[in-house]
Amino acid sequence: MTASPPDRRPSRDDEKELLKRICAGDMESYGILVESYRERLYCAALRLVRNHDDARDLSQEAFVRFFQKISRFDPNRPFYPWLYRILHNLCVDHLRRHGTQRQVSLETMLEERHVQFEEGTSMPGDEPGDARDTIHAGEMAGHLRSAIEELKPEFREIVMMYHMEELSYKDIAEALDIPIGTVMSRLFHARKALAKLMEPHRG
Amino acid sequence: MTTRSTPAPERLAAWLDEEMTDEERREFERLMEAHPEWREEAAEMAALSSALNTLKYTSPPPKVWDNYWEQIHGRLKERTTGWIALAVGGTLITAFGSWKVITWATNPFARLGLVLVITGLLITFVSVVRGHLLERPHDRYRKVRR
Repeated sequence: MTASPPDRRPSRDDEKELLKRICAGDMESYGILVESYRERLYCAALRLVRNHDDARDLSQEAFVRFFQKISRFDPNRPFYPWLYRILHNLCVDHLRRHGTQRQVSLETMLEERHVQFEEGTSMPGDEPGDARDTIHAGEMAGHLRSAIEELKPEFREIVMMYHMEELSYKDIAEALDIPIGTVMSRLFHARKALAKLMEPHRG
Repeated sequence: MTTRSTPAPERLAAWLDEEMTDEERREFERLMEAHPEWREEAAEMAALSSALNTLKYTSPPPKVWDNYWEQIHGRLKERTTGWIALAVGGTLITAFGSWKVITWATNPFARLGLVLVITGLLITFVSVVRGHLLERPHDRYRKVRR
């Protein structure tokens, strides 16, 4: 991964401590947790419902449901996948009831990170600087945004969870309640589909 | 970490993302030697993956956070008040209704039947509530995935 996520996520230990205090009814800790995750959750909701007002409302509702269900949560497990699952279910219900009323395109939701990006790419086991491909990521970004939009929803979701939300395979599996093998398989096929969509833009 | 039941080419994603254990990685790299075409596919995917890593969500406009926390807090307060009112009101209506029904039934058998029905409902209700609030958090099997 090349850059840090957009919000101020607490460390795993701080998060455990916060969750313990929230379980005991500490609203100040709950407020800290909400502030740490609100942007991440809002962006995930926006990706699913594509409407600013609904994304705001559904992310708030996810935080409310999380608080109501906190006694069922095991603090030794990662917190965000659980919160994401609550949000995902809310968004699915919302879309089932209201259908898709897209106001926000994926292209406006995504931007390039302001990081130094090396020329070429490397694979596991490569020496640093071993350029394997001529595709330049900077040029690809615009085309990529439109290509992601064209993916099947389940492929788009997994690509965005892994690359933009920076979740591990394990966390994605937990958040979507699917086996790790399915995460791997979807990511593989999603990237293959993306590669095909990107073919006309390759130098 | 990863499942070996996943078809080998699909495990390419896990190899690229370094989501394999050392043993799985060694095994997969041995397989790769026999399939040079996977190496080519891996290079293409690595390039794509790097490009995807350059994207991030656009930060939402600051006005999204106006009263964000206050509204969450407000919803929680409203719902807690609502549940308390519902529980107290329900209990009062149940108690009053039960008393009315028992006094209305003059036949001793009908009266006994009603008392048993009400007692049964109350025991079931208390048992469900107790199970939900006290026993479930300590259920040693609750984390077992079914």
